[in-house]
Amino acid sequence: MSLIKLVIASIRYYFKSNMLIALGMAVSTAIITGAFIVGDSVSYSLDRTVYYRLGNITHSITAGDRYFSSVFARRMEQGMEYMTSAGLIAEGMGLADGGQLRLENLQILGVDEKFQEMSIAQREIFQLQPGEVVISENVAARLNLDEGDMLLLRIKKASLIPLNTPLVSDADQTVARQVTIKAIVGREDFGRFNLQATQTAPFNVFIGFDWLNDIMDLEQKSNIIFISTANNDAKNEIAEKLRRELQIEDANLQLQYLPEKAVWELISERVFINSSLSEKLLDTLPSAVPFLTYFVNSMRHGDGDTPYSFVSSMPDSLLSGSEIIVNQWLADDIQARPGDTLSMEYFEIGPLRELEVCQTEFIVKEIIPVLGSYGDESLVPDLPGLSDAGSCREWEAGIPIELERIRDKDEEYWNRYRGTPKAFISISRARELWSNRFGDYTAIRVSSGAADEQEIMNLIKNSTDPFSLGFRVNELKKGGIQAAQNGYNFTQLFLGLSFFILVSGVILAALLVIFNLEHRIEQIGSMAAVGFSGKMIRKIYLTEGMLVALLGSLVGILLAVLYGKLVFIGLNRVWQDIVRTDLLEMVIRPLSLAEGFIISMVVSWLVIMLLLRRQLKFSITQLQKKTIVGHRDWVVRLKQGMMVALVLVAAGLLLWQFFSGKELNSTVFLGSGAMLLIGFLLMADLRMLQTEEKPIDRMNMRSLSYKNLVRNRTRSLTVIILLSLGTFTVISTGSNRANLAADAQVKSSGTGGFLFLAESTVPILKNLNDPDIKNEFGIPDSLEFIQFRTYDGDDASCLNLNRVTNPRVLGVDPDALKDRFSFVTVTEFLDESDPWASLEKDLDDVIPVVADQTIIQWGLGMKMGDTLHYVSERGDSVRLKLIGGLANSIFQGNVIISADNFLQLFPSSVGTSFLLMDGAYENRDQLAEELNFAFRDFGWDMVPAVERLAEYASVQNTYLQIFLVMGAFGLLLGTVGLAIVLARSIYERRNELAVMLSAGYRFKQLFGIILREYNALLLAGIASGLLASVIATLPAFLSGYQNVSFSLLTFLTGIIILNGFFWIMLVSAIQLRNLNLLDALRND
Amino acid sequence: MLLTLKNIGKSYRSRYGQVFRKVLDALDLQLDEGEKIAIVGPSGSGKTTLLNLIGALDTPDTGEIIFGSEVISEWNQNKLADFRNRKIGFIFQFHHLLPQLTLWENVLIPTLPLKSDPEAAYQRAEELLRTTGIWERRFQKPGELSGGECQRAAVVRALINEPDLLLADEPTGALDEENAAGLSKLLTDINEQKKITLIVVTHSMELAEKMDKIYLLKNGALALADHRPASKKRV
Repeated sequence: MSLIKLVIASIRYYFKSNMLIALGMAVSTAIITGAFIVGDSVSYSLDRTVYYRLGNITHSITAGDRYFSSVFARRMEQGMEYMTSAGLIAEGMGLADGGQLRLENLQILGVDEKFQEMSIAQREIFQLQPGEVVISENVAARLNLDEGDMLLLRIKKASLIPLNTPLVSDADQTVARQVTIKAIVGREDFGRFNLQATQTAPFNVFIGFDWLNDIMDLEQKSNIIFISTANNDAKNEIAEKLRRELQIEDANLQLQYLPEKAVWELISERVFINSSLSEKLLDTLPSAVPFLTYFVNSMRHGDGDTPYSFVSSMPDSLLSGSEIIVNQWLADDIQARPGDTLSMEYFEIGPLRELEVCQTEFIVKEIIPVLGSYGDESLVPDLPGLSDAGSCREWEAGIPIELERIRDKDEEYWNRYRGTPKAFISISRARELWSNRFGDYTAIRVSSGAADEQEIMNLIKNSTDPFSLGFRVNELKKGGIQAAQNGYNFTQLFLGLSFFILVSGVILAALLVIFNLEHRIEQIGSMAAVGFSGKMIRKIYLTEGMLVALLGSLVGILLAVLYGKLVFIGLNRVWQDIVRTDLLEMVIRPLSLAEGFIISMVVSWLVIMLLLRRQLKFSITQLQKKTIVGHRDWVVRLKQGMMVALVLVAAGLLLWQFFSGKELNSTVFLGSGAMLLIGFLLMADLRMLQTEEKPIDRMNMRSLSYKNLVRNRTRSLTVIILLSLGTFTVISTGSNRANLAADAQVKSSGTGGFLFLAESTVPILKNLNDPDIKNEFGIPDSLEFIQFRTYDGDDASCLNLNRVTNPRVLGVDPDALKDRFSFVTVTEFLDESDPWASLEKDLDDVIPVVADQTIIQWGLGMKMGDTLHYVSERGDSVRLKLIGGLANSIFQGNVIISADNFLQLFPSSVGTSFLLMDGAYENRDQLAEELNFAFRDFGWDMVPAVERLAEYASVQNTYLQIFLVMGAFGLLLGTVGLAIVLARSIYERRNELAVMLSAGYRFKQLFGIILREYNALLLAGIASGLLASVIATLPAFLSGYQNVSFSLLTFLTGIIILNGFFWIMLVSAIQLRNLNLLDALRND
Repeated sequence: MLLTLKNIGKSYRSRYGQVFRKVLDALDLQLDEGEKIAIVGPSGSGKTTLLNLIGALDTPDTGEIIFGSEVISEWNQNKLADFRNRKIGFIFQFHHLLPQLTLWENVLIPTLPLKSDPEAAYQRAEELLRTTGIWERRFQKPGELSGGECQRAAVVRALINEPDLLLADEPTGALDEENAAGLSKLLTDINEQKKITLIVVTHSMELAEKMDKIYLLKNGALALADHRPASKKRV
């Protein structure tokens, strides 16, 4: 007889109980390995998403809102080992079915034939003729389109001039075309092309590059260059090439020779010359003369009033800041002479086209001829709708023109001299009055004698740092892979979510091991009695246990695959809210299976070792007599001490939370709940010990039941633990489910009390709170708007599984958000009395920023006080310091800075495209209708704020749903534990029960005794779990943001209790029915 | 007449209902109040089966069991349970005391279904525990006591409801000689003092000889043994 034979014989003899142990271990293995499989698969799927959304494109070159020549793309690939393709990306909206079906947020992609080569498309589909488009499957599905169908596209028109540039008209922001669907493409045909690191599919419309240029009245302009290279780390190489190849036209500059003035003139297609460029140029070429020409409303002297004129600048050397030189025509018109005071009125244009009438005065220094050394039309920048108008009455400026003020003589002047400036002020004064975030000058002139064209070109090129103009080389592939790999760790998530099942599985397995050992306690005693050493006995039982664990773990691996499949079915169907993609594919990596297997075996080894040590510490006599009773006094005292300490600490923490006046901290409550739970379990243990020890003077059925209950304290306590863990999980999960509708109108809630949230494809350039603008759009006066500027970044909300580093930045006037939303975490930089105002604090070299706390923690993986790194429009590296964390809000996925800071970072930012609206809740339906109509051409995507919040909450709720399912499964294990303990207990007590029957007890009475015993265990487990979970989730109960459903709570508790009752009754009935009285009496 | 068994037949059947062993066959027995008898016989002869039938733990295939004037073999389970509780006291080879309870608690178990005055039960328990000499041990648990003490406690448990009939199945089978002798004396004393009818199933002739009559169970029927060997003799 060898050891292994003995072990195998034991396994065979105790086959049923060993199989139960193996099953418990299989559950634990399945949970651990299943979590690995889910994590691997999500990670793999995100990696695959990078492939589907980028194909072979590895990098891109963008330039903010600039448009550059498509030839630049060709120059960029010359002599390099990569391929480029010029692209033109715009936003748009689609209408189908006669306008019945509408889809905002279309990504309009103007692509050329080289894009085909970079794509992963299986078909030749990207060579598109005018009028043809290729759309992604989701667009086809939303607009109910088939190949060959027609679609009306409304595209946000590209503008070489930033739309909020002073004096530029904001008319015609969109252009519409009827197009034919050439093809509908899925992921295999590059239908999921997306530059953003997210797993969700964008709404793509591919369109011919040349035709899109035609539609937008552009000439071979692009705003992106796609690059495909074998080297994902080619960023520096590309950046270097970008520096070398950038020509002045790519920077939207033009150098022209003005023969009559004998000067070279540098102007910008964007009207104002970028200030960093102009500063460098003027530094390196001192002879260059800058000009700033502006359109003024009126120039007056005495009764004379000349409307709408261009005024330009002269070098400071020619006149002082208070002086003005006027041309003869103006002097005659307003009867001004040198020394007279001239009053000038002009519009100062605010960030949202707010017009402020400004007035200033000058002393006329000199009167000059209309045409002369400075007086020339070419000083007027190219302002579409103004400088190119046929007559004054045709002006379409970005400011209101009172046509009745225009006189015939003004028309005559226009006909004869066009926009030739009528007056000149010093350049310093001109800058003081009219320089803006788009630039300081409208032209820079260099005398042809000072430098030739090539010299000037070289100087300009040397002064032009593409990165300070907003050019960027984006590492799409590398960034995408990093974002995917650092994304949500689903292994950790599912281990966390299924933690209680894991614990329950281990406890259950341990319980079964204990049963097995208890059952064989005499055997162990006999072995010891015949001379087996403790080590030898341990070895025998450990070998047996590990062989069973091996079997359990192997079965567990198979169960893990099944579990993984079930989770994926859940994620792709029921729980799609948290993944927002149908791209999830399951992969099984042998290494993960091995990891799960090893962890499971180690856990099994630990459990068996611990239990063996515990069991074998008793004496041989005790083992043989099965009289293992008692406990050590110091253990009891320790338990008492721990129980009192835990309850006191938990109570202290709770009181501190309530009376400190601080925000309720959910971690403190969770910790208190957990401490109370352990305290309750210790209390139950001690109570059972007391019942066990205290003799009963007055016997009755109840006291008999309680005595029976403590017959085996470990078992009873195990049942209580299993049930309390399951209850704790289910109830705390149920309590945390967010129900947001009830508090939607509260200003401190996650909606900020706002009625609607809208995002517009075409930015809103004007201040919508201005009554005139409201009137213009036909929207009610009662509506209040909060407009946000946006700087695009990746979505950092919980809807994105990727780990993003640069979320979208929103810029807002902090005053507008006063008393709105709630901050849950603060830093010393946040003024708690008016937190939003802190966004305007001067923190030296960092910019204050706030975001949702959940996003800071989970989306960005950061903590309060950390800094986010961005590159400003001028190419400077800027740091945004997190100074406050918001409670879950509609801002999820964004970070918020003040509008002033925003415009400093991104001066060319055009208008606002993220808006919050507040109005009368009662009229919300009508208001929604009016707003949707008013902004129908802006790609207006509006939702009730509470709906957006609910969308984010749905992610949380879905996680909770999974948690709930896991908790229910854990509870099921608890119930299984209860049933096993019950069945085992009745089996072991069959002689006692038979004696009681022989003593005249009825079956019904025995049934009642058993029910009372186990119902007490059930209720103790559920009550401790319930109480602890309620404490743990008190913030959810007490907060105004989450409306805990008491009916759900009652329902869940009821279900848990009924489920327990049911199994207790069923198992008791079956076991008692199977109890053979005579056999039981005969058999000892 | 306290107990009458008429034409009792009992067979053991397979799962499919086939008779595979006939244990009792047309067995008759009559027992007066206060009488004490021993039933002896070889292992497997049906002694315990007979005791279980008398104690209403089992029902006969044929025949009638009449207790006093009532035919108990026709009663339902609830009535039988009440009957066992009030009229019968059982003592088994193994004491089957509940290990989680003290002796005091154990002996009171049969009083619980009665719903009678607990004080009277406590008095009886005290008296019986004193009589059996284990009063001082009443707050100890079975694991802390000797086999003899436990068996005496089992006797007290059997007597606590003042039964008319005491059934003892190999009561001394698990005891040493000294304890066995003590228990034998206890049983006969109880019979004499309390006039409780006693039926003992035993292999011990020493115990059997203390009874008024000895019946030999053989071939499914009882036969009165006509001689009583003085020596300890296993049947």
